[in-house]
Amino acid sequence: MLAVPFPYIATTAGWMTAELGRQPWVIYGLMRTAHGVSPQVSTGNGLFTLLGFMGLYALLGMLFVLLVMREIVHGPEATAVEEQSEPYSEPMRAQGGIR
Amino acid sequence: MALLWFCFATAMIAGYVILDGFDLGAGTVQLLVAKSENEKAQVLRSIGPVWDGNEVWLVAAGGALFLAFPALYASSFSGFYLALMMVLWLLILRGIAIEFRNHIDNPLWKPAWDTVFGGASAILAFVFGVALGNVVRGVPLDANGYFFLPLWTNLLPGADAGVIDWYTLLVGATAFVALAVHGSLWVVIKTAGTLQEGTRALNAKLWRGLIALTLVISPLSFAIQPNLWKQFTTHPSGIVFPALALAGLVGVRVLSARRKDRGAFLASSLYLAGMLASVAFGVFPNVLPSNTAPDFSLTIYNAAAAEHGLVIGLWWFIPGMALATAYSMFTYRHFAGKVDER
Repeated sequence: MLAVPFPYIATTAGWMTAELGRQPWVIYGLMRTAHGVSPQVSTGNGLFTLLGFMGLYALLGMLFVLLVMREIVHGPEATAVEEQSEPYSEPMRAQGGIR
Repeated sequence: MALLWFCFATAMIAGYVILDGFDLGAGTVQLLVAKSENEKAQVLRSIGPVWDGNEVWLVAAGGALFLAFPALYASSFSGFYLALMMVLWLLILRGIAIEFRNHIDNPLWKPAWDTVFGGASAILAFVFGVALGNVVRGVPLDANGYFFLPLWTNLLPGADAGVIDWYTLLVGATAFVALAVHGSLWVVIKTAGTLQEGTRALNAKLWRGLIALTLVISPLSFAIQPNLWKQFTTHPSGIVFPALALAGLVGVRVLSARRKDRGAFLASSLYLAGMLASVAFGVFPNVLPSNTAPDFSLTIYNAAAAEHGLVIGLWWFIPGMALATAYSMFTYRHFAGKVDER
């Protein structure tokens, strides 16, 4: 349960290592990041979309935490109750029922 | 080879519009027809197993453009920067709405996500139409093949037009209604009872709007983009594309009135493919016309990748698409039939 954040830390850290470690190249050895910038997109537009992404990701992140916390608080017993409300399936009966 | 890739890219985009088009349209159906929470869930279940597979076609179409016409890809992604970022946000919100909705059984949670889903679906259908309108009208390309469009300026399709002007608004409205017709036919196939009857009624209403919009938009497109007239007069055989679209549009009404719902859905797919092929044929050999200096237009020749790259691309593209087609067919067969009404 406490391990929930670790896969996210691992993937994010790996991604950042790849992206930041490659600088100043956008394609290593071929194209510099400075040469890949869209000349027509203004700083203001870039800032607007950066803030938009930050807002959207903050919202989605909070919802994700909320849902994960609910699942944890919910606990595994709740699923057992749900399964009991349905008739036992054959393999479950063979194993002597559930919990 | 560039011509072959132009045909491939058109086919990919048509594939995307037909496939993701019906699940975007289903969002409109959910917004307008489905009343109870159960009906809304049924609409979602009808697209549940297939919507994300359909969106792969957007990525694949983008990938095909990147591979075959890198200059077009670079130019349009920076020129339509704001519009494309908003499309991305809408796609994110729409996907999240489908995934999050069923996690909390709460009288506020589910309707809120249903509204996000329906709203984002409807706006996306509209925005894709606006994008198509921009490709027909042309954009202010400079000598380097770049441009930048604000979202709107004076709403006139002149040289200083933004992404949105009255012409692209009309194309957007047409796309919204066309995909709602398409999506409602899908929902009719997948559901039964009052939801199905309500969707049938909506389909009949929308169809009248669609035929009116199609008849308005077609001559306007010829007025806005002179290349259409040039193409259809020098190669009259191209008339087959709008003819197919018209046949599809008539077929939708004829077949759905006789309750041949699958046939009607295929007719609506034919309409969408016919309209897109007409646009592709009409703007050819441009891939993105310039509305300020015709010489700066991006064509299939000056935007194409090197010949070697285009040939190598075929070796990956053909097996890749065969694989995608195969798993799509498997999924659709596996989940054929009506959704549960519970």
